[in-house]
Amino acid sequence: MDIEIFGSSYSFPAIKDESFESLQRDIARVRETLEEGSSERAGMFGKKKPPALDPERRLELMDGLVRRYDELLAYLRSRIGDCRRVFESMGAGVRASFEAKVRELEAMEARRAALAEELSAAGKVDAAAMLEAERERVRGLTRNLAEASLLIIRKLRHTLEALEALASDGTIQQDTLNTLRDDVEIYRKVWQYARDMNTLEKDIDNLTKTAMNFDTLLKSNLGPLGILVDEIAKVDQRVAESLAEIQALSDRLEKNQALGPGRIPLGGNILDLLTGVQMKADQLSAIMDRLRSDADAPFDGFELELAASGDLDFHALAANMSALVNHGFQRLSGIEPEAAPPPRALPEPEKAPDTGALPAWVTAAQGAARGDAPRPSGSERRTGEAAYRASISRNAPTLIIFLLDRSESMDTNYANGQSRAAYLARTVDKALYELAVRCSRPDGVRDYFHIACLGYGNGAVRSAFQPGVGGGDWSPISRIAASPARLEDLPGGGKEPRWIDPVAKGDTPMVAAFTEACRLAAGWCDAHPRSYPPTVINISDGEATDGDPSRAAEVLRSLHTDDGDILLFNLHVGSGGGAEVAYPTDDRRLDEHGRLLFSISSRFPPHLLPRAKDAGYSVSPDSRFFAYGAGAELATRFLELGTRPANLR
Amino acid sequence: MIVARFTRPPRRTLLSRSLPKDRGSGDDRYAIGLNGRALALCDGASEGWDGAGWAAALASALVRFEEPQAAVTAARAKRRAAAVSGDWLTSAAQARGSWSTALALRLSPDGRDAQAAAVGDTVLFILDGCEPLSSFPLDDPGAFGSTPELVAENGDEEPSFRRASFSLRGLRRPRLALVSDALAARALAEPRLGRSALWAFLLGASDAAFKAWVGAETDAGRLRRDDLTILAAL
Repeated sequence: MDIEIFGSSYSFPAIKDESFESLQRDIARVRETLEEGSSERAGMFGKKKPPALDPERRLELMDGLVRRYDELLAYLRSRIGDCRRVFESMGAGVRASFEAKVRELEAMEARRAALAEELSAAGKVDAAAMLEAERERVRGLTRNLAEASLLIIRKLRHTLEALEALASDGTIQQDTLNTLRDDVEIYRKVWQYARDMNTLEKDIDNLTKTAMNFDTLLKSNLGPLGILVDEIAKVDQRVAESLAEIQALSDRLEKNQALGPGRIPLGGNILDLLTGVQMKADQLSAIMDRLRSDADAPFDGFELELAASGDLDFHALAANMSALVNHGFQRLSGIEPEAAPPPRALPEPEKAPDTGALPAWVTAAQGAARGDAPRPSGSERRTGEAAYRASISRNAPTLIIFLLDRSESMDTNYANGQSRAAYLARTVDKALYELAVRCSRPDGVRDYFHIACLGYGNGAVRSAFQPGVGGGDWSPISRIAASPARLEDLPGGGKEPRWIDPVAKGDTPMVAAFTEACRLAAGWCDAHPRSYPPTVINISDGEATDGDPSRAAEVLRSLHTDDGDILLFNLHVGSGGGAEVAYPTDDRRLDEHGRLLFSISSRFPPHLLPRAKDAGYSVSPDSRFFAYGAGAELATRFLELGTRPANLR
Repeated sequence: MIVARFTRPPRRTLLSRSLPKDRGSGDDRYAIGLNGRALALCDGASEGWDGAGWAAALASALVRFEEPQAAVTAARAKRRAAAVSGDWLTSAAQARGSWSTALALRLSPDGRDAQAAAVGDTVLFILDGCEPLSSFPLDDPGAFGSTPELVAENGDEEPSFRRASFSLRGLRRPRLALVSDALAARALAEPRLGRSALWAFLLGASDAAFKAWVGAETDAGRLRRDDLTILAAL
C-alpha cells in the first residue's frame, strides 16, 4: 500500500518485488496458523476455530518461520540501499511540503492583519477584535504543522535505523534472531518433556488399574482356591482387617484418579511435613492412624494441587512417601515397623525444655515454620515493615483466638470487687461486641473476622463459648453476633450481649492451650494463606501447671500466612496499681514468670505503634505486646488495642 | 463512565467514572447541583455503619448549601430522621455511626472562578487541558495516610473544612476534577513528564481500558486497592 503525505504518494517499488511479497505472505500464513492453532475454542457466532495444533506440527512450523526470517533478512541486506533512498525521498517530500504550508500560513497571517487594520479604520471595532482571535488560530496551526512534520520524520528515522540494524551483521540483529531460535529450542524441550511425562503417566495409570484389578487376576489364577480366599476373609479377623485396609487404599486411589494427574488429597500441614523433614516413626504411626480412622477425609479434608507447588522438595517427598508405604506394608503384614532414623532430623532448639507430650504434628508445624518446608502457595512470607499490610476483607478475613485462663486463682477479686474471671469474661464479651459492631452494615454483618475462644483450666482446654454459640474450631463474626448466650439489660437502657460465662476451677494447662491454638491456627493459615495473620491473645493470672509453654509458644509464633507471622499477645492479670508493666522493651522489672511471658510475646507490630502512642503508651519497635500485673483498666485497653488490626476494608 | 452536558451557561460537560474495589457499589458518592456548577465527592469510610449512605447524604447536602457547615448539619438531621430502630447490633452500629471525607466545589455563574472546601483526602485537581496545575487540599503523594480527617455522622462536632479559591481566567481549557484518595495519590505520584498523558487517559479512556489500567497498576503496587472515583467538569 502506498503512503500519502501532504497529498504526495510514496511507494516502495524498489524493495517490493515478487520474492519479497511471497516471503511476506508465507510468514503471515505461518504466523496465522500458529496463532489460530494455539487454542481450541468456538469463534464468534459459534463458528468453530481450527483445532489446537499438534505439538510436533507446531514445532515444524516454528522451524519454518525461523528459516523464512533468515531469508527475509538476507533479502533486506541486498536491498537496504534502495530502502534508504525511499525513506530519504519521503523525508525530503515532508520537508518540502512543510515549507510550502508555512508560506501559506504566513500569507494567511498577512491577510488577517491587513483585514483587521481595514476593519479598525472603518470603525468596526468588534469585527476587528474577532480577527484578533484568528491570530491564535494561525499560530496554533503553525505549531501543529511543525509537530506533525517532525513526528513523521522521526518515525521514518526510527524505522530506517531499525531496518539498518536488522540488515547489518551486528550483535543486535544476531541477538534478535538468536532469541527466536532459543524460543523454538525451549519449546522443543518443553514438548519433549511433556511427551515423556505423558508416557510415564500412562505407565503409572496402567499400574494403578492393574493394582485395582489385581485381586480378580489373582483369584482367576488361583482357580477354585479364589472362592475360599473370599470365604476365609469372612471368618478370620486378621484377614478381614487387611481386606478393610485394601478397600480404603482402593478408594483413595480411585479418588486420586478422579482428581486428575498431579493431585493428591493431602492437607497443607501434612504436605509441609512430608516435604520438609524426614518423619520419625511416631509421626508415621500418627498419620497411619489418621488415615485409618478417617478414610473419607484424610488430613483435614483439604485438597492440594501438587502441580502448583513449584518449590516442593521432591527428594524429601519421595523419601517420606516411600517410608509411609513401607510402614504401611509392614503394618499390613504384621511386622512391627522399624524406627527409621531421620537423615534430615528436626534441629533441636538450643535449650530443649520439657514439652511433655507435644503431638507429632506440632513438631512438624515447627519444621514448616522454620522454613524447612516452603508454603504450598509458593509465595514468600512478609517480614519486618512489609508484614501485616494485608487488607482485611470478606474475601481475606483474619482470625482472633482468645485463650482464657479459667483456673481457680481467677476467682481472686479485683479492686472493684469483681472476680478476675467475671471481669475478664465481660472484657472479652466487650471485645467481641466491638468487633461485631465494627463489622455490622445495613446489609448484614460482614465476616472480616473469624473468632475462636478457648478456655483452659481444670485439666482441659475447651471452647469458652457457652453451648450454642459458634461452632467448629472458629466461627465467623456474623455467627457470633447472631448467637449471644443471652442479652443483659443495661442500667441506662438498651441491651448488651453475653457470650462467655466466668469459670474459675482447677489448674492452668497453658501448654495444652497453646498446643490447641497451634493446631487451630495452622489449619486456618493453610486455608487463608493471603490473609492478615491470626492474632492470639492469651489472658492468664498465673503460671502454667503443665510444663514450660516456651516451645509451644515458639511454634505458635512462627506459624504464618504470606502476610506475616502469627501475633501472640500475653495479658497477665494482677491487682493493678503500681506493679503494672505495659508493653515493656526489656524484662528488667519482671519476676521469673513475667520474664517467661515477656520472652514468648510477639514484638509490637509496626502498624499498631501509632495507635498505642495515641492511647498514651510509651512504645517502640522493641516493645513486646505484653502486659504484666494488669489491673482492670489496663486489661480493657490491652484488649481494645490487641483486637484492632489495621487495614479493615 | 457517565458524561452529562449542561447547555445553559456556563456550558459544561461533566464526566464521572467509578470503579469500586470489590463487589457492590463501593463507598464513594457524588452529587451535582446548580446546573453543573456545584459538585461534591465524598468517600465513605469502610469501617463505619453505612459509609456509602452517609457519603451520599453529605454530597447531596454539599451541593445544595453554599456554606459547607450548614450542609453537614442538614445531612445529619436528614440521617437522624431516617434512622430505623433494630436489634442490639443495629442500634449499637447506628450509634457508632459513619464517617466520610467531603469535597465540595462551586463555580461562579460565569464559570471563571471556583471555590472549594474539603475535609480529608479527596482531592480537587485544576487542569489546563490535560496539564495539572494545582491540587487541593493535598499536593504530596506521601500525605495520604491511613487515618484521614473525616466528617462524622453522629454528634454535633463541627468539622474543620479547609477552603480555597481559584481563578480559572487565563486558562486555555480549564478543567476541574474531583478524585478519591487512592487515584489522587497515584496521579500526584506520576513524574512531571507523564502527567499530561496520564490525565488525558483518566479523562478520555474507555471503561474497559480504565479497568485494565487499574488492574495493572494495582498489581504493580503503584495504585492502592480502593474505591476509585473521578468527577470532572470538562
